[in-house]
Amino acid sequence: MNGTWLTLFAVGAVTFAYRLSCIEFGASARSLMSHPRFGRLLRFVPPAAFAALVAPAIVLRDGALLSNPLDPRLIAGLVALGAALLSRSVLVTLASGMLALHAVRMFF
Amino acid sequence: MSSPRWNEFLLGVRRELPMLLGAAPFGMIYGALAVNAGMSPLAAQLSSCIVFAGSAQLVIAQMLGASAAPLVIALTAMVLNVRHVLYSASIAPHTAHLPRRWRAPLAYLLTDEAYAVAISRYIGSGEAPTDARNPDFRHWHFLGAGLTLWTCWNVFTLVGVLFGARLSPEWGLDFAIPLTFIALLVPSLGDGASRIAALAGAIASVVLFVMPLKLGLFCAMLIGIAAGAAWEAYAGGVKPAQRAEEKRA
Repeated sequence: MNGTWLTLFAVGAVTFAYRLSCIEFGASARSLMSHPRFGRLLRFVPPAAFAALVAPAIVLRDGALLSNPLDPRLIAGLVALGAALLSRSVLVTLASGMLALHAVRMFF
Repeated sequence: MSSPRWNEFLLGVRRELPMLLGAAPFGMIYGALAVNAGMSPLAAQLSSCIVFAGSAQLVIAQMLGASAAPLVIALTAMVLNVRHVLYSASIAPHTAHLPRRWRAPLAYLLTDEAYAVAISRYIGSGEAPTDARNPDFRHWHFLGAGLTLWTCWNVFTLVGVLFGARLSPEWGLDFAIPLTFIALLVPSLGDGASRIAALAGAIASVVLFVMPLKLGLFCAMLIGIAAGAAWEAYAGGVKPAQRAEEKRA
């Protein structure tokens, strides 16, 4: 079994354990996991995780900060951010970002 | 064929259908991007059964493409998926009376989209809560919603996997992964503390990018979460009374 399958099964097992935790272990797990402080921490997982996933792909190139303010990926990222704010749709965000990427590459 | 069980099941299927408008294209995008990031079609497809959580599957594909270590990928995906504990806590009182042969499959089906539909049947329906003294068939509704989403997610992953293998690398499709994450990020920026969490996570991920094994991403997520919580606790979010209440809990 190589690394890919190992990764899939590890993440799958933990994700299932998360989903099962309170359903299976009832009140004891619930009081621990649904503690208000824990819930407040969980609220920050999506913004922190998604921003951390996006930022390097937009502002780094080969591990170094962009030197060109007209870099196609930077502009396309900003266009996609605007599209996401306006549309709240994955498809519209994706299409705007990819179109912007190719438009900037063509014209600059 | 009409029975209370079957009617609940069909109601769950019907109420899940609007969710498929978002899940179907996302499943297709995931399938196409995963094979483009270098996953084998079989692994990309089975990830939709084994992991069955879209954003985590996308992170796994991206990190495998960047040759990150399995343990680091797993840690990162585990942080991203920990929100499912909240869904589990929220749904648990409604499934406590069910036997294990029901509880385990329902837990497996507890994704964001299935949770949203299932919980709406338990609360806000105006009916008495379900328990051992007052059993009903609302778990069939949960099952219908969950199975509908599971089927849609796996079918559209397959469409994406088949379609994605034909896409040219010249189209810059690797860039579609961060674009998808932008679309997932924006709805989570509802308040100041969440924006601080995003800002701190973004800066930390850039600064820590040089860390070995792609550990920077995992650390940046934790830093972002801590920054959001710290901002909320000390910059005015929490009232003293609320904090005292938490100490008692």
